[in-house]
Amino acid sequence: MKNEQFVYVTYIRTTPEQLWQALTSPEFTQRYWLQTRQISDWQPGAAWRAVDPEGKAIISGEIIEIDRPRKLVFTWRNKRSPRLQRKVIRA
Amino acid sequence: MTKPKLVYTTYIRTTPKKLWEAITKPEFTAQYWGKMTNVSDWKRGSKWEHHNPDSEVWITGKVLESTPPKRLVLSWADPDDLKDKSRVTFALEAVEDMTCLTVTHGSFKAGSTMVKKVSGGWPRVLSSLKTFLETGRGLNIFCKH
Repeated sequence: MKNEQFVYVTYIRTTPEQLWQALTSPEFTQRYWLQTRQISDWQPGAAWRAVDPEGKAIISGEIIEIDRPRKLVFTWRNKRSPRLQRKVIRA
Repeated sequence: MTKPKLVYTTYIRTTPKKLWEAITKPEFTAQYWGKMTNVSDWKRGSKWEHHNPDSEVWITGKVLESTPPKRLVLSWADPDDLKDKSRVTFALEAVEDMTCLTVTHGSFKAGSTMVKKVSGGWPRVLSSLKTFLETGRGLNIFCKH
């Protein structure tokens, strides 16, 4: 089977720094990302998880690459479909 | 080689009716589509044109299907290269207080140069359309990037 890859591009009236904050600060992410808080110390090799309002980690993974505020790569494991994926965010 | 097909989906906090107007009314498109306008009576079989501010025709085609405010299908070609024809579908669906918009640009002819021309443009236009409908002000889609 061919490796599937989803690519999404969007332009946002904001600065890379503000967008970075929106992606990595739990206070921001809970306002738009299914109320989840993204928890990590955002270092290469660090654990990353998205925690729902009950405190349950619904997605977890590991930071692969981080270049603030330009690029963020992390693995992605959904608790409901535990196949490991990789996510790249580029600003 | 598989035929290319571009598919973009975005959720916009607006109604299908307002989104339909934003796509089909020149006074709206001018505000988010780099001052460009879409001109037609939007009836099935009618001609439609994409104009720049000097009313030069950049893209031309026919309205293949028009079901306001749900579905609009257009043929799409550069007036200087009418044989390189493709097809654009706008599908609008109300979802709670949002409208889910899916734009599909496909049916490209073999060796079409249009894919390359539009693949960088659609993310800009659709980002600007969403920003315009949600904030009242579009983006500069001709930004250098």
